[in-house]
Amino acid sequence: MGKMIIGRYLPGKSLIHQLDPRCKFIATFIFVAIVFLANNWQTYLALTIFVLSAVLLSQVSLSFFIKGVRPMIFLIIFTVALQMLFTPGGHPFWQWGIFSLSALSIRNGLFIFMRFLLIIFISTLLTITTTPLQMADAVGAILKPLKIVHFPVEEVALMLSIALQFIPLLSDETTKIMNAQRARGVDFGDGSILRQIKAIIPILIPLFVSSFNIAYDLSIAMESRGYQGSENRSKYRQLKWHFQDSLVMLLFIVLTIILIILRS
Amino acid sequence: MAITFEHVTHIYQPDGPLAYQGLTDVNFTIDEGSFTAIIGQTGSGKSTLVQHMNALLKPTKGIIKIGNRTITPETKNKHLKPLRQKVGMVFQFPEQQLFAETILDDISFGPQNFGMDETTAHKIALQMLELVHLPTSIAEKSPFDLSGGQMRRVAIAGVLASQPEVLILDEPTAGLDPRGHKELMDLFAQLNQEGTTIILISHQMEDVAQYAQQVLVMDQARLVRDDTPQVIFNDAEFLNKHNLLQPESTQFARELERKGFKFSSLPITEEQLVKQLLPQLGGSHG
Repeated sequence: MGKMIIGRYLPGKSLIHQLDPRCKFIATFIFVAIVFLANNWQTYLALTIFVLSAVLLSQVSLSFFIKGVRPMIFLIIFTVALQMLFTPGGHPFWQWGIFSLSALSIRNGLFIFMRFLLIIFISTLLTITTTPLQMADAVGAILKPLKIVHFPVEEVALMLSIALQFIPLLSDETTKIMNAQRARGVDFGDGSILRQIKAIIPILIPLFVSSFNIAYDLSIAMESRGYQGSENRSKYRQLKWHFQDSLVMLLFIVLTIILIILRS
Repeated sequence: MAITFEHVTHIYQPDGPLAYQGLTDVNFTIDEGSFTAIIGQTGSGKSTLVQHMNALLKPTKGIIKIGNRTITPETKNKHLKPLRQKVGMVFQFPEQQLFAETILDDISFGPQNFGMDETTAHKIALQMLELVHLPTSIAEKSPFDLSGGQMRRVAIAGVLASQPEVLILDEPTAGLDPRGHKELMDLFAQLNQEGTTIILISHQMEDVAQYAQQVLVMDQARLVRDDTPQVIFNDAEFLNKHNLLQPESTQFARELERKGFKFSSLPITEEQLVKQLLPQLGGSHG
């Protein structure tokens, strides 16, 4: 559990921490979209400079981001390798059956690698500088237009914020139950696949049971405090859109234009 | 089994930005067959400490000796099973670890993991049910049909079923009614008399005073005191410094002292209090 960097919040007071979560959310989405505009080294350079300066601004050490990539490195290398070996075209300087390697395919592979890296960096930046609650608020606010088509925006936002708040609790509970079963002689990650699957049952069942209990207690507590559904509720945590948020949006427009100009 | 900690330090998530110290240079010895209590504020490292005693956590630095086994930072996770059978651990709110279809299966889960055959395990499970004051007639019921207090007993029975030589109890009576509390504490005392080494984490100073022979006081990941309850509970200044309270009997005796009563050393249990008060009140046993 301790190894996962993505999805963890690191408290801080940097410029990026103070941005409106809606702004960060939209910005991340825009970024993921415009990464696909890049198709030559100039555009990738522009994106890299942009991401690195954002990371720098967040005052979180770069090594933390690199660690965030680590759990996915095999997936990335696998995809990149496939891309390199199966890209047709170009003059192959190495060939073996259906596999071939050319300057073009290596270039393609490198670009895909960069694409992965940039997307992981920027989404790690979002989760590291935004609390789960801010995140849930942002999603609720962004989804608001969907109310026109009777999408239950408030309910979804509520579920999201409850789910997010209970992740650390459930993860602690999982560790605790695992330890308790380990103390009763269960070996996790040992023996044949069938045995390993069987070893999960003593964790899974208590975890489900305690989730049911938590849900029951929580719903009773909510009702007794006057929760009657999402209609007509006021909001305690107000999101404020500042000048710097507009500036970030502007920056993204500029970046998009630069990318369109530079792309070949 | 005796347990010895030598310069044990534990750091959670070392070499990361979220690293924090769980234990700092802890040294102590727990004798075989003794009853040791660990006290300290919430978050002082008590639970971290006891999880080292059956190698759920391994020291970042230092050596732990449990019986004839030695746990070092290099100890591999394999071959720890025999140790875990000998050192039983009852976690906080152990009722959360129940999972099997019947109570009988759940209690015999531990012994079977440690290699016991099903028939013997079931036999022992029934004995354990009796030991924790539950009727054997409920053996075929689902553990989830029970009340909270009964589930707690089943969970404890499940740990006892492995017949550990050392029993670690992390606030075993938290949230129980007074009667359930006393029954369980008496059970642990009885097991201790029969030779089980007991290590108890507790916030109830009355229990510590009444049952423990040795008290380890933890504060901010450090072991700040290792002494008998009599000595520790008489040191009001020390307790105050580490945000701990004296047992009620001791507090009461202190008030009496102010009114002119004399105590050779402050009593820590009701029994001792009565014993010292009787002659001063001019009464006699009877």
